[in-house]
Amino acid sequence: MKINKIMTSLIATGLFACAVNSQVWAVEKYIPDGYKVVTVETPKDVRFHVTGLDTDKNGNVFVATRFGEVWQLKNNQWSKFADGLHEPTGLLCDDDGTIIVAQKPELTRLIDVNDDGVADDYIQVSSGWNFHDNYHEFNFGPVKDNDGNLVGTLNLSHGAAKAFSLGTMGSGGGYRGWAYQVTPDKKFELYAYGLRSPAGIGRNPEGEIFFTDNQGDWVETSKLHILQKDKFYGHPIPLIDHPDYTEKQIRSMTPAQFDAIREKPVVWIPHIEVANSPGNPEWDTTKGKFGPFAGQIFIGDQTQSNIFRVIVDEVNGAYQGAVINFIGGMQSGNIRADFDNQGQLWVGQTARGWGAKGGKPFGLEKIVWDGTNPFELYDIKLTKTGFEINFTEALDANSVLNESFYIEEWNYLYSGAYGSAKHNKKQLPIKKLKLSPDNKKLIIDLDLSADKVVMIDFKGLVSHSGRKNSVSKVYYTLNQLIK
Amino acid sequence: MSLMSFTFRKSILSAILCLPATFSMANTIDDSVVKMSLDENHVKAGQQLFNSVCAACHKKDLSGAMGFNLKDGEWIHGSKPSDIVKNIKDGFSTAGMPAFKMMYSDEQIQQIAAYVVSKREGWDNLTYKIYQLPDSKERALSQLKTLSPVKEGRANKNLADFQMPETKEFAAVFEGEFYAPKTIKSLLVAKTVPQIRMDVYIDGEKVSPNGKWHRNWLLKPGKQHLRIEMMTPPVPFPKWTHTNLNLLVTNVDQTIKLIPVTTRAKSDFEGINIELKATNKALVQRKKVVDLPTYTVSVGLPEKLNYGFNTRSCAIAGVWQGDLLNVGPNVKGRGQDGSIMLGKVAFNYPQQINVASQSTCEFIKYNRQGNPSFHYKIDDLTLKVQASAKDKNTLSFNYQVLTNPEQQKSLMMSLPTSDLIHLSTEQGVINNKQLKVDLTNQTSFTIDVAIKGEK
Repeated sequence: MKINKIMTSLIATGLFACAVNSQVWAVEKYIPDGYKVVTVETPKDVRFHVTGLDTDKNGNVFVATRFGEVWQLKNNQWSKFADGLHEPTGLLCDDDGTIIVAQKPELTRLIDVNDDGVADDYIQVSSGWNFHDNYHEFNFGPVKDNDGNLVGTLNLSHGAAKAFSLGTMGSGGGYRGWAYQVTPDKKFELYAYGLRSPAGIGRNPEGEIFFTDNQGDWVETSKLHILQKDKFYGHPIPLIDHPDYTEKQIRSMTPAQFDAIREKPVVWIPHIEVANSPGNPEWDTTKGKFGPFAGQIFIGDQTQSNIFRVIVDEVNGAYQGAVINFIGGMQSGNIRADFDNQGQLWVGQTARGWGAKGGKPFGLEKIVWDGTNPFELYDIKLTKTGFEINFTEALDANSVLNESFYIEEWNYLYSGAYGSAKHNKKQLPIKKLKLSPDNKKLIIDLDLSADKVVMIDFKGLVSHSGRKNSVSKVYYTLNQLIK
Repeated sequence: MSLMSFTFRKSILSAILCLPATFSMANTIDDSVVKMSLDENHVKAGQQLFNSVCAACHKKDLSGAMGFNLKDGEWIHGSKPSDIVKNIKDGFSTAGMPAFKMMYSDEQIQQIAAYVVSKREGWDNLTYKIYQLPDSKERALSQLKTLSPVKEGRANKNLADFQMPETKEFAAVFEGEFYAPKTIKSLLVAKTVPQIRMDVYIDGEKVSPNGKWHRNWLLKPGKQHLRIEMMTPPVPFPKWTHTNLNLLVTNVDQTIKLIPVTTRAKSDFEGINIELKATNKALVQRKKVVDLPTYTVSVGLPEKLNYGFNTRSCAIAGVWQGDLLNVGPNVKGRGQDGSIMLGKVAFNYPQQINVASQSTCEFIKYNRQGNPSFHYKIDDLTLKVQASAKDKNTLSFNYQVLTNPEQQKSLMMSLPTSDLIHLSTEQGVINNKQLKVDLTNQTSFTIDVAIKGEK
């Protein structure tokens, strides 16, 4: 039996002696067969906190750093493209070859006018929101939708003087906690509201926009949403900029009232177990170059220094789905992820200000696949009677026993408190367990109810070649049952 | 008796014999340097020597680089003026510091020492007393009178270390000479929960704090005797209680961290010195800057002339002479603090150069080919402003009208007021801090900002 947890291989190679002496190495490491994390050398003596990351159609990598620089990696050589920016936390290689960066006060297009490899023009694309010099007022994005609109998200402030706050995060006004779009003719338009610390925004191949939000006040645990126009995403503070609300009204409303008007996430991302501060959702559009998970979403987490997958399920015409850890134990805080044209997943990292389990303060890594088929959960779908779970390799039928599983459900309490514990936690007994004729699909019948997270731990399963999964817990966000 | 032991004994003997003389000489030097440190002429002469000889290693602001920090409380080779004089004279050849006694006279070396002494910051001769608290839950600093310290002595590195007590609950008293900034008002700031009791005495007088969560006490400028008494609440501690106190000195707006008072605060001061200097080409930095408005883009020219352009108001929101910025505070931790303009501020917001009574300003872009230029629209007028150094003290703002579709005939510019600058232009008359520019026969004009030299 091959066990592919790195910790095990560390023991075997004797490196564990170092591991036990260092708290940094207390991070659990896991990686599927066939995948490798490659650390990319970054420019010497440069504060390379990567918070903006994109690759152009030629495979050149562009990075925006928190220090305010833009670097490009071309033919394995780093060169500085721009500098002096205000803590950018997003970068987009636009179709025309120019670069757009999301600075705190401005969305800016960088143009190399004289073609010397360095940006000359720093053009204001939009500055339609208000920035008040507060450290937490990040501007995340942009992504481009199918109509050519640039979409971004605006973080709330923290500890800012004169800001409207209900205790933790705040807004000095000017659309903090809103999503916005900038049309191709540079018109700034409001998009949606109720966001807290929406550190990651992405689009699927169809052009739908999704964003992640970080656990905290009014965010029970981190989550991934589909971003839809004029929708409310749960944090009451941004309502201060909504014409239908006054401060007095907002202060008088109860969590139940906010709950009634807010959107449900596509997935809840369990705190600590999967993520504390997720970055951007990145779709595997590599058509198999990155392995068997084509079409799924990959997200990095800054605190956990891991990458996890999101498997989207469509139920009654709405998205819900599951999260499952993918790679753990990376070197720093993963905040940005981007697939290049070779099918490599680049991961931008920073740990400054908000710590990361990986001990390094910043860096850049990439995840590559060597063609080996891993043995992992492929996907999970809700059925009328429970779940169907597909694996990337046929299962050993002898391991498909009730004792191989532990299944439980819970939900969260929505409030202004900083995050929520698991509530109504309950073990779910398996009613029926069935394996498909090709041994790759499991059909599990359970008594399910809506508005729960269902965690299935399939720790006892073994593949027909004797392998174990690198991770065994999948978390399905069950907003609704199939009607 | 071997030769070696004989020599050894001899040297000890001569050292003992020389002791009184050395002591009295040191005392004389100490007195002399302290006296010189209060004399502006000696301090200035010392500063000039320091800047030309010592600043390369110890930095112009004495904060240290290759060489040690010379303004804080940590003195590896002795903190007395006579120690400083001796160290300058003899140097430390193994550490790369030359002996200066052959190059400079005794008076010059004492002037350098006097300048160093005049720049002193933070604690000196700091002592500590740690108290164990009684079992009762009652807590008042007046209880210290009835208690005896369980531990006391000289504080290491002249910093108050609140991690010394080995019990969770404790009281501590730190006391010593304290050097606050001389030229600006400053506060002792305690970032701690209100349940931690703290009393502060300056020159023997109890000073009342301002604030509740972030209590602060106004310090006297320069040297004073400072006594800090602290007592923890009874366990269980309230939420957010950290007994390893973060005490520091800031400016009165609490926007600039000036001096660490405790070991905990010291860690906050590490990595906050990242100075950006334009050397061979202009630098552009968009950062939060103390004393410049939000939305200001800072520009530094190699001629050591700097300005800020506000993209919201399209105004020149400040001019300063020296290096561009210390961006360290803005990129340390979460980046809560603002960057700091380096050098002399000639004017800053609300003083500014701007189009008078403008209705709307729309910032377009800046371009970094050559000296940076800022493009923007005021109503229908498209303007470009580009600054260059006319001479080492004069920043010349050249404005160009790029489009004027409405054939606007004139433009009124409002100008800043400052004793430190002289404004001039060749394209009109400055009247009552306003410049009216005739646009009928010209599409460009220049405003020169000359920074006055020291009197």
